[in-house]
Amino acid sequence: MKKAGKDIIKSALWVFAAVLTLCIIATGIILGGRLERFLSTKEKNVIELTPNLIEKSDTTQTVERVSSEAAKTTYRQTYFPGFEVEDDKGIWESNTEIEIFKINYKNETGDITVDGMDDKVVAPGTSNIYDFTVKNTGNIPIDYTLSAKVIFSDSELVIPINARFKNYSGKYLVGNEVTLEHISKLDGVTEKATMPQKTNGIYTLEWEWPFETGDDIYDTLLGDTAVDKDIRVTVVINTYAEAEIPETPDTGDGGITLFIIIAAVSFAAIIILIILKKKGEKTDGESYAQEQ
Amino acid sequence: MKKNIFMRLACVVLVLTLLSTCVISGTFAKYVTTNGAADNARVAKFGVVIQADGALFNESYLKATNTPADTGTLSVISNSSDDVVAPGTKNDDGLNFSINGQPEVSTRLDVTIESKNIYLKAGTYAVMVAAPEVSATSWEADKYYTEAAGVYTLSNAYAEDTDYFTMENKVVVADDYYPVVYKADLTTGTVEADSLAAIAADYAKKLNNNVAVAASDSSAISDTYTFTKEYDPNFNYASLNVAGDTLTWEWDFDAAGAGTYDGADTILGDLMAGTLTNAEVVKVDGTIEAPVAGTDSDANDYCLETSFSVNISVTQVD
Repeated sequence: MKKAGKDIIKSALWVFAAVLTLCIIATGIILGGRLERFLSTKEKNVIELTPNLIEKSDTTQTVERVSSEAAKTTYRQTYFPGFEVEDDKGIWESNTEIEIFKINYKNETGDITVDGMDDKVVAPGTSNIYDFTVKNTGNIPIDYTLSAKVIFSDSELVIPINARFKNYSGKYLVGNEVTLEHISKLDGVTEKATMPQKTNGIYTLEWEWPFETGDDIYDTLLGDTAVDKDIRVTVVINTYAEAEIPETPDTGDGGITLFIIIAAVSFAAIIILIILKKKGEKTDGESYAQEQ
Repeated sequence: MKKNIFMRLACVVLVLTLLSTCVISGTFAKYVTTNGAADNARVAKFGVVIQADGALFNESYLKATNTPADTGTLSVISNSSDDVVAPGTKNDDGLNFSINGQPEVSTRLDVTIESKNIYLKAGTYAVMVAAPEVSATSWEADKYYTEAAGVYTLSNAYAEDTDYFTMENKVVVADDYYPVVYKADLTTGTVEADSLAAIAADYAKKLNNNVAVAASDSSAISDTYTFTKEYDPNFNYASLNVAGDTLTWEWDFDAAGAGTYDGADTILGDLMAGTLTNAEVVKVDGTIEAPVAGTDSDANDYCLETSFSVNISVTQVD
């Protein structure tokens, strides 16, 4: 009995030692990985102070490149992603009314020449330029998609409005520097880009209903029809932004690797204990047989 | 038993590790946000409608349509050149035009109003009638006239083979005579002034937002008003109050039974007849000769036509 007890204690000590050894090894691996960056003499990558937005051609590749750059110079810190769209009136929410169109318009001398009273209107000779800004307010890069939609209330009475749409880099998504295209060209326009942290970009939408379209009869028809029937144009702009938060959760214990190691150690301890148990049972059986 | 304790401890550690792994993997969140904005506008209203109803004379020409292409334009020309106006005639139905609409854009109103009225200038008129049977014995002093180059002269002696004329239907027109009296709404003129010119001036004033307009061309028989007026967005054209002014006229041949202007009406009637048989209307002021018909630039002695035309267009201005 005493011998069996000693064997048990001995076995336990061996198990404990084995487990302790594995934990020490695991801790060493983890600490070593964390301490390595303090000991390395390699020059770190530096993110531009004023980085430009990166236009996506291959989603996966670009994201990985930006993420890896951010990871190289990011130390243990709190990550806060942030994305906003705003104009001179404020920040967009989920269905914000913006001022692409106006209630009244003035001519070059400052006189109001078109006035919808309480309604936003368009008429020959009216025009407007609308700017809005997309902003990365966080400290990690963000991928965003911008899309536009144009809806006419009457498919047969199409309003002769022309437009051009320019992105943050001066590239025209509709029209060009010289020419405006019919505003229906804006429908379905989509742009995807990656925005580095703490950057912004301005989009500009410009439209006009030429005073001299060359078809006064049609312009008059629209104006006369509008007396009894609303003929409307609607412009919708949506943005979708997403970001992958880097692999350093703010838990204080060094990451998932440690837990994998602990799980492996626990599993190994279970195997060892099973083996020892089997041996112990065999030894007990032999001792019992000898005593018999 | 002790081995079992170690076994259980190892199992518990394993389970806890697995649970922790699941929880930690859930904190690796993907940030997603959406934003949206929209705006819409309607076409600004125009809808200016200019309409004309009725006619002044049987030969009136109305160029006014109400199709979407022409709602901003009206042209009405009523002309009596085909002998539809004569002593004793009138038109009670008349001509009515209106302008309505409240466009939401700035507009410019272009107006041209032209009027012309039948007229006989103040003076003495008569009809020189040929006297073919005059002889030396029947000739009388202060009765017979001879004619040379359109001028009639009182004959002071009988001459053989001479055409002689007598002066008939002599009438003194004390004041300028406008036999066709026009009436619009509450405005009624008289025969002693051009009632149509007064009405034309009144229409021009109304279309100019109740500000008097000077005639761009004026004579005793015709007036022309040409002007433009700009109005701000949402100006209500109905407020010009042009609608309801029905224009009518009458040529009262007996001056309400008094017959005051019978002689003048006769002279005008003779002039309207054109060439008289063996007779000619003359004006007896100074030289005795045919009166001079009025032109666009000078009223002269008479005018045998009356007309009224209105051209209105409303155009958006930038």
